[in-house]
Amino acid sequence: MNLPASSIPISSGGHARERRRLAPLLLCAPLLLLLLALLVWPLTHLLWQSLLPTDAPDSGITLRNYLEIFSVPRYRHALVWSLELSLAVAAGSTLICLAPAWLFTRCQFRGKRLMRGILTLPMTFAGMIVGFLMVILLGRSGFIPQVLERLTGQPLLSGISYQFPGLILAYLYFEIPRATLTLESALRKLDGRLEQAARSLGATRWQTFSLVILPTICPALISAFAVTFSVSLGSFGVLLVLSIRRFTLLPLEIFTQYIAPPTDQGLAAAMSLTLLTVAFGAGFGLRRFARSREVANA
Amino acid sequence: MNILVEADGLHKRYGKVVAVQNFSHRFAPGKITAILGPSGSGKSTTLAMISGLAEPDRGCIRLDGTDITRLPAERRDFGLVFQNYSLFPHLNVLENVEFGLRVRGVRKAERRSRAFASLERVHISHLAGRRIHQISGGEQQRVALARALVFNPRVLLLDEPLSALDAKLREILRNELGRLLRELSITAIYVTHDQVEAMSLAYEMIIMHGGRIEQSGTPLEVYTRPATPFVATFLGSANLLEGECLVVNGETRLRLPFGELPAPMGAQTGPCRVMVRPEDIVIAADGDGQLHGEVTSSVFLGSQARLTVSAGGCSLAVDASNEAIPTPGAAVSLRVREAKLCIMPKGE
Repeated sequence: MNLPASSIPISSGGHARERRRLAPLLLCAPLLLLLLALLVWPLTHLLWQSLLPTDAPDSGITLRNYLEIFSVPRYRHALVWSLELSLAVAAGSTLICLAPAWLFTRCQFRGKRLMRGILTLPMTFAGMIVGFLMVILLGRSGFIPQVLERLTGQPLLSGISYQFPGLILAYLYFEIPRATLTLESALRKLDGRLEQAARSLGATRWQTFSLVILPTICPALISAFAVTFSVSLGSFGVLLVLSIRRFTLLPLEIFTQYIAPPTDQGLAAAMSLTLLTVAFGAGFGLRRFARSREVANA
Repeated sequence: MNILVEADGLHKRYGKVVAVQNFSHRFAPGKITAILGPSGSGKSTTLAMISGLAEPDRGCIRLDGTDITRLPAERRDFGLVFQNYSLFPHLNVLENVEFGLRVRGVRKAERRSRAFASLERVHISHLAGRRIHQISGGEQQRVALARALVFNPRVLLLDEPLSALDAKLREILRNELGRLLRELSITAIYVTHDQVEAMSLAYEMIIMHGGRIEQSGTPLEVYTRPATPFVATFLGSANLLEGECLVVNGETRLRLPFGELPAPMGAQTGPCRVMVRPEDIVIAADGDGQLHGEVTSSVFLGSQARLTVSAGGCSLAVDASNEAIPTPGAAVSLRVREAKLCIMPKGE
């Protein structure tokens, strides 16, 4: 007997299964709606804005704003410096934080909790506070330059907080907690018996580290690098305090183009989307690579 | 390689817990010695100290007479097979096996050929290119063994290498492992909590309990003549009975709760504890056994049945042939194989 599909009764078990399947979606619905509202519409608006020339919005769609980022030296430098700074900070924080993360997961020592607290403290600071701390420490009349001047008679490191190395230092301070926590969580999962196995096979401590530990934690290193790179690229608070007109980064240029007259909101939108694309692309690509390494190591 | 390993008074404490105390033993050169004991008995800590992965608080370890107590693990040239194999997940099978040669600076071509030979020895050379997560538990165990043997270690240490495998595979690999180690004539120390594994593989056994050696000897010695009630009950099943050796009419007799038996040779007079294995109590078909009792339970075990018999005020475990298994409530007549009685001092 052939029954039309609509006449086939659905059991109460089927209904229950359907409800169970939909439940997570319904629970997440408010968050999804909020994300859609805050992400999709503003991004679409931003994209539209970036494709319109600010001085002649009725002249139609153009890529002029994007071309301007790469053709005008100031903007191009801002993009390159942003990338350089983020790469340096990501690489630096990942490498620097490997040792404390290792210490926190593998060693028991007095003051461990205090040390961990101090190291993760910058995460609770706003970027501007970190900027002010750097000025107090390494500004033109900062504590360290003053001490060095008294000791050597030379104004050593004076105002370095406003230069590229100073910015790197401030960003590093800001990113250290993120890198430490990411690495610490990965190192906790590392099987300590692998080190024992390597040593029992004749590997020295260095060989154990370079041939076993490092390749095993490679995905965690990539993840820490990806997180710190993306966050550094978009970070603004530190920059607002420490950057000067002579030296600028893309987030500051976006702020300037939006706020400071003469404003160019089309250009600011193009810069925002460029920054977003680079941060998202790098983060996505690196995390994908890290996952592929994790599968290989599984 | 007939290397002599000696442990002398090893002692190890973790915080307030004493893991191993006063462990002394000369391991038979070129033979397999099994260290057997329940969880927490100190057997793995002992192996860790011998391997160099843990440093003893006291005592010393000698290798052919040379003190190696403070020599780091990487310089001992010992092969070590771990319970969970600890294969390197980022390397494939061949690279894992090569590792010991790589860190010794052996040229690539040579280490490839030696690693292949080692894989062939454990019959898995066809898996050389596989990733670790692509091979089964049994295959991983073979890789771990090939990796530990590839650099011709002076001593091979195995920490419960078969415990993660299912029973059938464990039996197959146990036989292969025994054959391989006997062929190599390597001094091997094998830690396990599985008495069958220990008895079938080992030339000599060390039974540990509470961080101490309870008894050592050949599997036959330890099984048939356990020194303590712990050893008697840990190795298989045992009936432990209170008894007394006394001289009656010039003959030494053993008085047990269910009657008197001639005492084994060399028995000292006085109160004692007597051990008799379930397989050494047989059902007398003609009813003329030394004691009579009633079956209280019967468990079919395949090749035989384990009975619990209430006799003379005690409960005895008795093995019966599976051809005619008495049912609970049945009256049985039992005969004890007197030669198999094992007498322990009462104080133990």
